[in-house]
This record gives sequence, C-alpha cells and structure tokens, in this order.
Amino acid sequence: MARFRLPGALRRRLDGWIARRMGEPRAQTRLDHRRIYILPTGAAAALVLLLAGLLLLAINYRNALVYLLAFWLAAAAVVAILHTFRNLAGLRLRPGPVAPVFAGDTARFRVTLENPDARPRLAVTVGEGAAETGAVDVPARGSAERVLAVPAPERGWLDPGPFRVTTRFPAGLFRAWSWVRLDWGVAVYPRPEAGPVPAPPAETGSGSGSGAGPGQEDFAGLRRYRAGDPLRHVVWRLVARGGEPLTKELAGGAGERLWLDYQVLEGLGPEARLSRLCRWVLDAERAGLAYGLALPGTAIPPARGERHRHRCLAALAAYRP
Amino acid sequence: MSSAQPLSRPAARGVVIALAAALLPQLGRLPWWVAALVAGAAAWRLWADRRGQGLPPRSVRAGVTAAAIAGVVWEYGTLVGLEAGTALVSALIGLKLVEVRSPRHARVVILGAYFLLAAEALHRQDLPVALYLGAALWLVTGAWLAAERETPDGGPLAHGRAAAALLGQALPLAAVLFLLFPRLPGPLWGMPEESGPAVTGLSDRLEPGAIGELARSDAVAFRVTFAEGEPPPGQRYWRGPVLTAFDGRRWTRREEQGRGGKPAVGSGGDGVRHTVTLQPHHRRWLLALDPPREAADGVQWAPGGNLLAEGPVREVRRYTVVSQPGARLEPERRPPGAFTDLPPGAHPRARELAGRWRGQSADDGAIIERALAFFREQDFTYTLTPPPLPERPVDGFLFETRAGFCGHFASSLAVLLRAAEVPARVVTGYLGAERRPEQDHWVVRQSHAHAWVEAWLPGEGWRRLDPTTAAAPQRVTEGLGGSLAGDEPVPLMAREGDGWLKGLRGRWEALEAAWDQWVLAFDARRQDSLLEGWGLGDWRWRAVALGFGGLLALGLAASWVLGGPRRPRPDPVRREWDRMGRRLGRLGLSPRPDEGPRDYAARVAAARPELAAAMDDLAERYVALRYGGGDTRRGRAAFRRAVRRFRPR
Repeated sequence: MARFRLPGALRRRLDGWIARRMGEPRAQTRLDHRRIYILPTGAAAALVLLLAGLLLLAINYRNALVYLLAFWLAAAAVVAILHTFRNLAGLRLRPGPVAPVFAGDTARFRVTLENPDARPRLAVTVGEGAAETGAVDVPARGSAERVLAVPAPERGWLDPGPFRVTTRFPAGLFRAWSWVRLDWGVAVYPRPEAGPVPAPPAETGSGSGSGAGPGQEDFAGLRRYRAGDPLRHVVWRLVARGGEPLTKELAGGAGERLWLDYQVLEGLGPEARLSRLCRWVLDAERAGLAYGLALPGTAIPPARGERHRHRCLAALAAYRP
Repeated sequence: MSSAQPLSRPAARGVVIALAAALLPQLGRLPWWVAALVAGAAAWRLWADRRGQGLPPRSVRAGVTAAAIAGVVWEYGTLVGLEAGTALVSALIGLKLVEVRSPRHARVVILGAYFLLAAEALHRQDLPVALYLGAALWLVTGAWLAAERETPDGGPLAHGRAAAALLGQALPLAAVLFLLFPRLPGPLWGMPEESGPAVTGLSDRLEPGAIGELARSDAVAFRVTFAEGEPPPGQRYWRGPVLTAFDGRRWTRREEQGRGGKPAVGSGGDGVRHTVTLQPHHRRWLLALDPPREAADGVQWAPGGNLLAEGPVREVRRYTVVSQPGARLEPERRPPGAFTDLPPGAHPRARELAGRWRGQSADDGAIIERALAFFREQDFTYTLTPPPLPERPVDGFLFETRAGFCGHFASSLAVLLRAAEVPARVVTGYLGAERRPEQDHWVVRQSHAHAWVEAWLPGEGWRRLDPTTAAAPQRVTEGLGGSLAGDEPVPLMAREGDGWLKGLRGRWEALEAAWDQWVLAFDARRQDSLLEGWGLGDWRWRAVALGFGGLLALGLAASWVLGGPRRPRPDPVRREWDRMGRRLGRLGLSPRPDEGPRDYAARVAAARPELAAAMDDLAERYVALRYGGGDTRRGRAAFRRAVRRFRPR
C-alpha cells in the first residue's frame, strides 16, 4: 500500500504525540483501546463503490431486495471494524530473550504475543517493512512468538525502539495497528577484526608458553568436570565407558594466561582497538586459554568460559572511550 | 504489503464456487457462450492450480477479453443497460478467474459476485429466490474471508462460521437501515422495456384457450385486504385489460384515440376500499375490484376503465383503490361505432342468429337477455380441455362443440352482441378470491383468471355480462375446482378440499405473503405511513432515529463481538474433581494447591481411614483420565458417577 510521508516538522509533532501516547517502555504491554488505531484500507473504498452502485440500482428500479442487500453488506463492513479491533485489543506483548550480536549483524528480538481470551486472534503481524515477520495466529489462551530482525550496525546498546502490531483480519477492509515500546535491548559487541592478527603479548613471567598456542598439555591430573571446561580436555574414553566426565588438568604456566590490554594497542584508533581486543577474546576462548581484559576503568581478571567471554565482550561493547 | 501474498488453493476454489453460486440463477438469462466462458475459465483455473501452471500470455488474455466484449455488443447491441451490463460483468469476472493469484484479484471477483446477486434480485424477488440469494450471500462472504486470510486457516467450515457470524451480527443494523433509510424516488434513468421471460399473467390479447392456459397455474396473482367487509362472491370481479378490437380470432386492445383520463363512473352501490399487493408480472395493469372509482396517485387510468401503472410492474406493488361494484362505467357517453365492428365474412352463423334477434326486437336490453338465455339453455360445457377449433372459433364453439373456457364464452357473446349492433367489448381479469382460515387477507390466483363481456346500454352505461356463469353458475360461488369435472387439470390450490399438501402450501404462501408485504412492498409510500405512525414524520426526526437506531444496533453487535472477558471454564473432569474437593472441604480436608491427586488421597486416607478405599479409587480414576491417556467418554461418565456417589460425612 502506498504510504505518504509527512513534511518534517509535522512528522516530528506526530511522532511526539504518538510517543506520549505510547508511554514509557514497559516490561510488557497490553493493547487496549487507547493504543489501537483503526482506518479503512483500499479494499474498503472498492466496497463503498460497489455499495453506491447497488444503491443506485435499488433507487432506479425501486427494488426492496437490492436495498436490503446493499444495507446488509454495508452493515457487515461496519461490524467488521469491531472484529478487526477485537483482534488486537487485549493482546499482551512480552519481550523474549535476545542473543547479543556483533556489530554489522542483525539482532533477533523475540517478542511473545499472549492471548488471554477464549477466542483466538488471527493473522496478527508484528513489525513492518524489512522487519516484518509475516502474519501469525495466536491461539486462544495461548501465545505465539515472533522475531524482529533489527540490524545492529554499531556497537553498544541496541534498543529496537517502538514497533508496530497490525492486523487486517477478518475482511481486509480495515487495518488496526498499535505502536508498542518494550523495555528491552541487546548488547552489540564490536566487530572482531578480520584477517591475520598479531598475537596478544603474553603476561610477564616465565613459562614455556608464549601466548596463544593450542596443544599445551602438561598433564597434571584429573578433576571433576566443571561447566565451562573446554570440551577438548574432557576424557571422553571414560565417558564412553559410562563413567562421569572428567577433565584433564593441565599445568598451566603463566604463559597460559593472557592479559588483553587496551593500552597496549597504540597506534590504533579506539574502535580499531576494541575490534582487535574482541578478536583476541574470541581467539583466546576458542584456544581454551584463560584471558583477562583490561580497559581504562575496567579490569576483568583472567578466566575462561562462556560467561567470562560474554562479560569481556559486553565490557568491550559498553566501553566509552 | 499482504496483497502480494499468493492466494491459497482452497481460497481460490472458494472464489470459484462463490462465483458459480452467484451466476447460477442467471444462467437461463445469459447467452450460452457467457456461461461456457466462465465455466471454461473456472475449469482452467482449477486444472492450472493442480498442475502449478502459470498464466496464459497477456496477448491471449487480452484477445479473449476483447472477444467477450464484442460478443456482448453483438448479442445485445449495446454495453449499457441491465441485461447487457450483467452479461458483460459475468463474462469479465469469469475471465478474471484465470488471473486470480492474490487477494486483490480475488476481491474483484467477489465484488463482481455481489453485483451478480443484486442483478438477480432485480429480476426475481420471490421468497425462494430470496432465500437462495441469502445463501449465496453467505457463500460469497465466506469466500471473501477465505481469500483475505493471511495465515493458514481452519478450513472452509471455519470461514463459513465466520461469515455467518459476520452477517448475523450485521442483521440488526441492516434492519435499521432498511426501515429508516429514505427511499429516493426513481427511476433515475429510463426503465427497461417489457422484457423477455414469459411471465404468467394477463396479456393484452385474448386468443381462444389463452385464459384456459393461464388458469392451469395456481401461482398467486395478487393479495387483497378489504378495509371493511369483503364484497359478496357475485361482485368479486377484478378488472384487468379491456379488449376492443377483434380480428376473427383474437381480441386486442386498441387505444382509443383522443381520449385519456378517467372514465365516468355511474352511481349505484357503495364504495369498497381495498388494498392490493400485486405480484410482478412485467406489464402495466393494476388489478382492482370492478369498477374502480378512485385510486392513489401514481396510478393511471386506461380508457377502458382499468388501472395502469406508469411502467411495467417488476416488483411487488401495493396500492389502495376504492371501487364501486354495482356501478356502471360511462352511462352518458355513447361509444363510437368501432365497438360494433366485426371482421367481414367471419362467423356467418353467429351473424345470422344475431340478426334474427335484432329483427325480432329493437330493444338492446331484450337482445342481451336472449343472448344470455342462449348460453343458459343450450347445453354448454365449461371445461379446461375443449376440442380445438382452429377454423371457426366462434361458430364452432356456439353451434358445434359448445365446450370451452371463459375466453370462448366471452368472445362468442361479444361477437353475437356486436353482430346484433349492440356495442360490446371483452374485459379480462379475475373472478373470485379465497381466504385461508388463519390469514387476514384474500388471495387471487392465476387459476381465477376470467374473461367477460360488457355491453353498452343508453342511460345505463357499460353493463357486465358473464356468459360463463350463465352456463356454469357454480363458478361464482364454488370457484374453479367446484365448477369443473373431477378429471379436469385443475391446479392444486384451486381444487376443493383441504388435503395436507394444500395445507402445507397454504402455510408456505402465508410466509410468502409476509415477505411480500413487509419487505418487497416496502416502498417510499409504505415507509412514510409506517414512520408517520411512529411519530417520525419529519425528515430530521428520521435522521435522528436512524443515527440512534444505528448506534443501538452497532452496540448490539459490539456486545456479541467484543463480549466480556471470559473466564476459561475448566474441563468437565476437572470440575468433577473440584466438586469432590469441595465436599471434602466441608470436612476440613480441602485440596491444597501444591499437592497432586495421589498425595491428596493419601492425606485424606490418613485423616479419615474409612474414606481411604473410595478416595484411592477416585484419585486413580482421575489420574488415569488426566495423565494416563485414558480419557474416554465412558471413563469420564464413570468418573462422574463415582464422584456423585462419594458423599463423605
């Protein structure tokens, strides 16, 4: 459908008015009559033309049955407004989990639509334009999930802003929509530097290791598997025999622990530094090494594992030079 | 946006079915090639969907479209007008079926289907057709909802239910609009000329046997209500077209030159006010009790004294007339010589007989008496199936076969009178009326069709003479069924007796009468009288009532659609369990929300050992029904019985 753009100043006022009506971002939103707008579509115009034609026929031929037909169709169109409205009213929207992404990727914001009524809601569309997800049915007393794909060009915190929930059910004559603003966001990590990257400097101290090097295995014993242990170090033979998973402990020299330091990267701009640090974090995690992160104002002691990785990447995402 | 989504196959099928339903009643009227075109397009479409075929090339489509338009022009001579327009829309919409790929195209076909429904309503509005159109409306609306649905749906049944709900919720608002929306005066453009289909009813010519043909139908011609009591049977003549020109075989209506306006009505008798609801018969006559004296405006008068509408009667029409049975038309004005004209050389024996009567008496009245006596005394038979007389219709009837129906009798008497120099004309119309006990109106059917004669006498005017009743007097009192022999082809409702079939048909006709009365005849005049009766004479008040009524109807619909928040009802098994829990609660042992059924049963058994066995049984049944996959109707019924039996004290 063609959408016309309003001139700049008018648009800003309209946006402001809509924002005020939407209210603050909330943890979950319930669509009610204050938030739902409804307007006829092009199909309604075609129907109006037909009805006008029928009315003219009825007047000309003085035919009561054609009058009745025209009135009945007109009344059905008006009742359709109620159906379209009801399809949205009372719908609850709740933010779902969002996985952090790297800058340049697309964040997938999950939104859950909940229908508390005993009547299903049919053909509800979330988002618009590129982010439109296609219509979905929300069953009675059930829920449905949709994903809003929002591009994340820059690192930092991404708030997808308000999105639109629309429906044209049942007859396509009227479109009801509501703007929804949820209290959610996602961390956008800096884009890891691509291509060959110099290794991070090792921590001072002795040690046979010199930084990132896979395959360092000074076997030092076995211990019970802890979540976060690299799977490479699990003794799978024992697991195959039906035993509990055990991890090989390796005598880590000081060379196994990395300090990824912002200050070290002179000669690079702030974003480039963050980009390289990100790459280092990813590489270190993949290699199974312990790594710590040092940014001006933040220091994360060395560790390993998924949570640690996220913590470091989040610190990189949030860093303000 | 969503209009770009392709149409699902069931939705496309639905559109085809909807169009077929809308087109079906028109098939008899449309040129055969239009129906073939639509059928071909539909078949192609269904086949192409199955095969996944693409569209035919644009040139082919354009070519067929142009051919269809040319065909309409060739068939009707024009693209404008009701018949041509309907054919054009049918053809184009049918061709559109080939292209239907998206909801937008489906919308075009659906709107075309709605138009076709209206086009049918312009031709026929009787109750069975109206019921069919209602069903077709539901089908087309269902197809529309199916086409607009953007998510995979619950099948055609769900759309049917949704369409029924939508139309049902719209009905109050539609009724308000129907009652209060002003009926603007038409026509806005010209009315079509009297068209095509052979419709039962009186025509403007009388041939031998024509009335007999008509009388084999018991379709309702019109219904009447009388303001005060009904006239006696002998006065229930209903005046239709008056025929004045005879060519030896056929009587026709020749407009009297130079005279328009109402013929004078003499004195004699009281006025009878009655309201007629006339079924459409596509001609201009308005039937009324003979002779009509006053009529509401909009009604015109033919020189013969019968009433005419301003155009062909295509819809059920209601009008009020005051007649004066017992009075005579035009007592003062002698009719011109043409009323004694007969084609030369025809009916020599009739002429001879009439000439003898004229020779024996100079008095017109006496001649009339002799003519009627001729019909009374000679052995005439009143029958719907006389032997045919192609050669000499009058002489053969009068002197040889002496068997015929009203048309024969009237035609022959008029010939005799004219041959005797008495001005005479033939009047066609109806004789009689019937009323079923439970109804308040009288019904006149095509089987009451009749023809009689009027002869002009100086000082008196046109006197009604009915030779049929001279030969068969029971016709007046007993009607058709009572005056014909048992083996005659009398239609069902005209026969005597009260069989169950007749009763059924009578009830159906009562429904049709109500339909005619309250819906079809609801024109501007009727609306005015109704609304004025409600105190809404002024248009401003009507607008207010329309707005108010509309809001009320909309509120009614809203209460259905929006409903209230409905608390979900637990299922029956759960309800029984809760009931059991309530009973135990009276003993201080209500179920705790955190405990499952088995734990609950254990707790109850520990507290009240005598209930242990029953409790365990109930708990096991419940668990089996809810979680064990044993949810059968018998299981549920058994559980319900067990719970009812369980009465702890």
